[in-house]
Amino acid sequence: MEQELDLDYCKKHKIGYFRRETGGGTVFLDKYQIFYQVIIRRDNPLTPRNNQAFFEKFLKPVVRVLSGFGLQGNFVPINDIIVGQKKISGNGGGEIGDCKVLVGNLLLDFNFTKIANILNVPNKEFRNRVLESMRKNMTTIKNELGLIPSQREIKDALISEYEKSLGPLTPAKITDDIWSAMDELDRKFSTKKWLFQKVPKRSGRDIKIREGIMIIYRSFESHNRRYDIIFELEDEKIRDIDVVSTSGTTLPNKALMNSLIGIVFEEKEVLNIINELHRKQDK
Amino acid sequence: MIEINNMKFPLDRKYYKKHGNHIWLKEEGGILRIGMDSFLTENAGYLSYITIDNRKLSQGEAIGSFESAKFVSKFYSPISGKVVSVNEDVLNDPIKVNKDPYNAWIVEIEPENLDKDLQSDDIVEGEEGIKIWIESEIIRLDCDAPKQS
Repeated sequence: MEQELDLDYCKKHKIGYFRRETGGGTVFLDKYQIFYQVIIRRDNPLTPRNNQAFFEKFLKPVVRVLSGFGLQGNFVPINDIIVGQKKISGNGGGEIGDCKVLVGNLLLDFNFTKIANILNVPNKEFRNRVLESMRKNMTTIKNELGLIPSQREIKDALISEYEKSLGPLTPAKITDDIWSAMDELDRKFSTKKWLFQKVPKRSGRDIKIREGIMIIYRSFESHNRRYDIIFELEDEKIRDIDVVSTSGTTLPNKALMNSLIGIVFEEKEVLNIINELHRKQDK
Repeated sequence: MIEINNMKFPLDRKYYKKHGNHIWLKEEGGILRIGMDSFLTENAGYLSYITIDNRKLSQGEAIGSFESAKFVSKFYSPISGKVVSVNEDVLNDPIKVNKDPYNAWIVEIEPENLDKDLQSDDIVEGEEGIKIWIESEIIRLDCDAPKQS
């Protein structure tokens, strides 16, 4: 949890946090999004066992909902929905008990600054780069349509489109048994053991903005100098870099940019290039 | 070793297929090493996390979970027993499983009732058995693939 979130910021701004059982990374939830979940037994003949096929099958209804509102949405593997080249819906999935679960959201409006502040990041330069990239690569229904249709209208459209994939859906009542099971899960998922489950510490920081776009941070040591670099990747290739801090007499930014932009990001390869530039400079 | 659709399956170990799992198990000195096979690593994509949740297990019970391609899946124990060792090296860098699935073991289990557990229909071994199983898995994946409309 502490690797992902700036917990002090969350506490200061009274933003609650929890860890879910499904994948998909950090998600900020507020009232300007519509959330949907598909919970389906693994042995249901409608359930693809392959996860990518699972995402694609159960995100098609969301794409059709966008289309109903006049937006040309597209599914992009693994599990993004984009309008133009911008992400408008994020999704994750997992196995829970005997079921496969898809969780996702449709962005009606989005406070990009707030989410950039919630994330635990190495420094303000990285935060700014994440914010800038989110603004460039994400969109909302409000941005696209100039207005937000009523939530009821969107929910009804989702129900109707999911019925086309799953068959008729019947509204169900939450029984006392379900409430008590939820209370039990609430207790389990509120424990420190669950919330702060130990995970291996990773060097640097990676934030995925949308499918194909990543902002990552790495430090390199070369010839007794240190380079802290922010990389913007597009389809694994370095699209831009920002050398945010260095120590000692270092290489000119231009030389680094010329050598690194356009290559496929691999830490070893980046270090080799920095070493090589130093060798040339020292000659 | 057999190779099916560019996926390799060493014949010096058994495989466990319950719940669609692709777990290999290999006995060494009375302890069973457990890992993931190349069908899983080829089809799941790069692993970003592996967690071990249970230390005392019954056959078919979840050992832990792994995340790949934004999906968290469980992996299940092929035998009853106690987890006696966890490969921290792999937990710290799960991509090692993708790169070298048959050397990147995940846990070691001290078995409780090995002979009985190995009688399970979910244990696969030998060239013919592995071939039939993997070919049926490939057909299943093709069936899953979304149809063009």
